[in-house]
Amino acid sequence: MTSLIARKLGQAAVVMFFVTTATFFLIHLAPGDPFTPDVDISRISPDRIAQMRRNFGLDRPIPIQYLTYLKNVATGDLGLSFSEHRPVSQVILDRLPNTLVLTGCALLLDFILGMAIGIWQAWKQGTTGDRVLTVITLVLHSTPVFWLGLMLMLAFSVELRLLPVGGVISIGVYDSLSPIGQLWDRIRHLVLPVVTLALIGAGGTARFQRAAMIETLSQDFIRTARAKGLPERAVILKHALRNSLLPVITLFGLSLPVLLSGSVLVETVFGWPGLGMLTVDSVQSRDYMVVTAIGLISAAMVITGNLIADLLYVIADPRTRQQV
Amino acid sequence: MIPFRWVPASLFGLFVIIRSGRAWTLLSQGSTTERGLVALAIICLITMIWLAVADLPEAVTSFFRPRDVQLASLVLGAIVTLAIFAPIATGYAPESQLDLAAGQLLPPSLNHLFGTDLVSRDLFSRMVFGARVSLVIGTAAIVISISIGTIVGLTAGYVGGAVELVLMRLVDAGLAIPRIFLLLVFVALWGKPDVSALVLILGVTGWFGTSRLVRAEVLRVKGEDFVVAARGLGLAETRIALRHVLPNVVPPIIVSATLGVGQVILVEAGLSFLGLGVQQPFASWGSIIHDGRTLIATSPWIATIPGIAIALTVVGLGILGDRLQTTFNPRGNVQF
Repeated sequence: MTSLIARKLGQAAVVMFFVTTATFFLIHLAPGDPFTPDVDISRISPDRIAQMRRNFGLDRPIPIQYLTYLKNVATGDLGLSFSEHRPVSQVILDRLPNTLVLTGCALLLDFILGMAIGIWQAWKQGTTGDRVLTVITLVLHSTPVFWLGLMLMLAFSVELRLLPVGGVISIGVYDSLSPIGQLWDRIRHLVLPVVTLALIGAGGTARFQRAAMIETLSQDFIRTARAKGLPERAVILKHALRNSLLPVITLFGLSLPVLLSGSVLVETVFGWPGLGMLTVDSVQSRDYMVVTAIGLISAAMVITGNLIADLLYVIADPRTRQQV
Repeated sequence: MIPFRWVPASLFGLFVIIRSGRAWTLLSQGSTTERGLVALAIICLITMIWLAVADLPEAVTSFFRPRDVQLASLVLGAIVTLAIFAPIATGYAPESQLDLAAGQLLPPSLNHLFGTDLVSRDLFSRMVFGARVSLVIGTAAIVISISIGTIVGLTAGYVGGAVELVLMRLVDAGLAIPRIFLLLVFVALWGKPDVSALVLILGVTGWFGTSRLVRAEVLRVKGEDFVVAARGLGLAETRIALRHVLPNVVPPIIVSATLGVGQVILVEAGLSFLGLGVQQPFASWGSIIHDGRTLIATSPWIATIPGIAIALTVVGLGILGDRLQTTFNPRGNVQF
């Protein structure tokens, strides 16, 4: 068990090392550096530019720069943001909580909704309800997430005026609200972005859960349970469900990159100031140190998520422990 | 109820009849390519009628038997047809600003099926020409990523050893960075892409999953008797890999490509929605949603219609992909 955990941790570290290396080479493959900007800088003397390059270590040989980059990333030093004149790590830390709240809530709702639908479909396999839900989940799985966000915004914010159009809080009103009113205000702003992300994810989760559950239902121990005369409800909920949860643990790891990608678009639609909006703004201002750092952070999150999924799998399924 | 085999020909015939006036104009006054397009339309109509009456092999007819597959292929067929014959299908040029005084933001009507946008461009025409952009980008990017993925997967799976280890860790790394962040890194470093650059970066960021799939299939095939026999015959390793292993991993690659086109269309739409994908004067479905985003409260049709088109296309490709999967491998497992 311990050796298994150590091996998984080692694998994760190797992948993170590859991600960091690939990022470094991408940065150095691209034309120019921070001191060859798009705007006219002829008023700055060449000596001054050479000086700045030296300060940032950009005049040193590539292998040395590479080792420095590895060391910096490992110690959490992600460089300086050119547009905000602050360390990148600070810029990211300011935005990270918003993205974690958004994707965390979306992940939870995605799985609750998706698994419930998938289990119900497998139970009622072949009925009209199952067929209708199969179409709905396929459509959700294929819909552009930002478009669904716009449509929900059009329906619930513009037409029905039930929920705010975007942002995290109602600017101007927020400070005068009571603590409970403030919390309520935050929740109201959270609803549409979370529901958008979760609905798109739930389409895939439900399809996955349905397939896993149907696979389980075809196995011998289910026939045994039925032959014993157990009520169908007990067969589904006690025997089949527990066993069909195993593949869903893997899906948890696979869902993270999808959710993070989706959050970039959803944050842009709803003006949600998280990592996604920061990325898009930084791309616009060509602040590539921020963009590459967020790439690294998102990869770290995905790798950690996969690691957790792997370990959960080992805990949940004793058979995997014996194989080691 | 007419039999399904006659539906494509009938619908296409209807299209040709409805647009015959436009086709005639193009034939008499159009450029060489536009005249060629009209000729192509006639060839297509004849082919479709032939397909309706011809004795098709059982494999083909049974492929199209399920209702959802019929519907999906009709919808996809219609979208592809409109994209190919865009100049015949539309009465206005996609970038022409028709009437800046009275023609702005007109809601859908018979004259402008999908309405007009802020600078009075006909949205139906932008959608149809946008379909060309979205579909071409989707297909071209998939050709690139499937090629890279197959080469990497075949090499890793067949050669094995240290090569496999390094390649697969590289694939793990590629899969760890969520695709849109990877694309944004490219855009941040190289600037906003033109269409060919966009195809290239969508292609080089999309092959990781394919290579993993191909490697797994190669490992499965490698142990089969016919490969052992080929080796026993003393054939060269590259010949075994290319002539004996590769053909046996083609079916899952086709499935993965079909589903992949839909995924690329979604990703491209996302990038274009952010204003970082397809740039003016070209329009893709995603960039039309980008244009309509700020007008969502007053002119909702601009952003609504392209989203429906994207969803229809991706759903259609998803159904076809699933069908190919079950055709190639009837007992097979579900793939994502």
